Amino acid sequence: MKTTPRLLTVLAVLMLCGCYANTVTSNQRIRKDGWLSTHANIRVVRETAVSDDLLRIDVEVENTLPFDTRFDYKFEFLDAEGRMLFGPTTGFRQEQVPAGAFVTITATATDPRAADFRLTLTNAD
Amino acid sequence: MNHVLSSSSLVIALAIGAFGGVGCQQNARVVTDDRDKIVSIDQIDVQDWSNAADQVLQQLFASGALDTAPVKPARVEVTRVINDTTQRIDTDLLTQKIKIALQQSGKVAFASSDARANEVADYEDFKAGDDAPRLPYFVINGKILEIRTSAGSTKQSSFVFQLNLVNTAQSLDAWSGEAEVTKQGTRNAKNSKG
Repeated sequence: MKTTPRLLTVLAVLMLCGCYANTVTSNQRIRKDGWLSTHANIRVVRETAVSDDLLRIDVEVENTLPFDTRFDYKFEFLDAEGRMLFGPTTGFRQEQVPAGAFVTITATATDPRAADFRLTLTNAD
Repeated sequence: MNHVLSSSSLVIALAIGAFGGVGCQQNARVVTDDRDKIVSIDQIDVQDWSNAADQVLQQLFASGALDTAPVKPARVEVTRVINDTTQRIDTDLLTQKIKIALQQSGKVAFASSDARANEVADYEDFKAGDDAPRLPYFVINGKILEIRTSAGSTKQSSFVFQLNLVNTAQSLDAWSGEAEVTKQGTRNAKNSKG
């Protein structure tokens, strides 16, 4: 008899796990590959609002390699429910960064519903 | 013997040539990633328009100039973007991206250039007894310039996109912005990796 509530709890947990099994979630906002995985140091991520309600992101990327290099990056904006927002200028941009120096990459959401962002940093060479 | 050798050599050479030719050919595919788009030195590529629009929009939003309008969304018209490059280009490739982004922000509304829509709106105004013209609070104008240079066999092209947001109530530039896209190389590249 005592085992019944425990069993119900286990079943409830298993059911909840089942409900979310198909949803892959990640809170990783910044994704890196290639040399960036080991030698691109994200110094600062600033989230501010411009023009009252538009989300602006500034990210400082440091090149810890002993030579100049370049990388591609892309910002994408998401609403409060995690849905991707369309932007007419979304796409990869390229940036050069000198050895041991850092650059600031920025993006401004054109949609006031933007609540979160995703940044992809990828090797350009 | 010599004749046999030369014939077989010819066959081998043709086979290599045919295989080489097939190897160089590439089936058409849809390109969705900007990094896979062709980068040309002496012209504005499709990804360059997006890059330029993004640069000027970030400057415009950061300036706060759009927030100075007394009514939101403020009425805006795009008057003229001058093409001062050597290419024949449609400046709508820039202005349409800017229009979409600004409308998405909810801060401005663009006056339509559709003749029928204007006719209907005029009729509605006439019926309502409103004879005041629909005037824009802001006007957008601009210019696209090109600067070319070379060093040896390396060529460089810079495209400069200048835009102004004019406050029509005061006839003053409420904001001016500029974006630049510079490309360098000896020949066009299949993608951004060169």
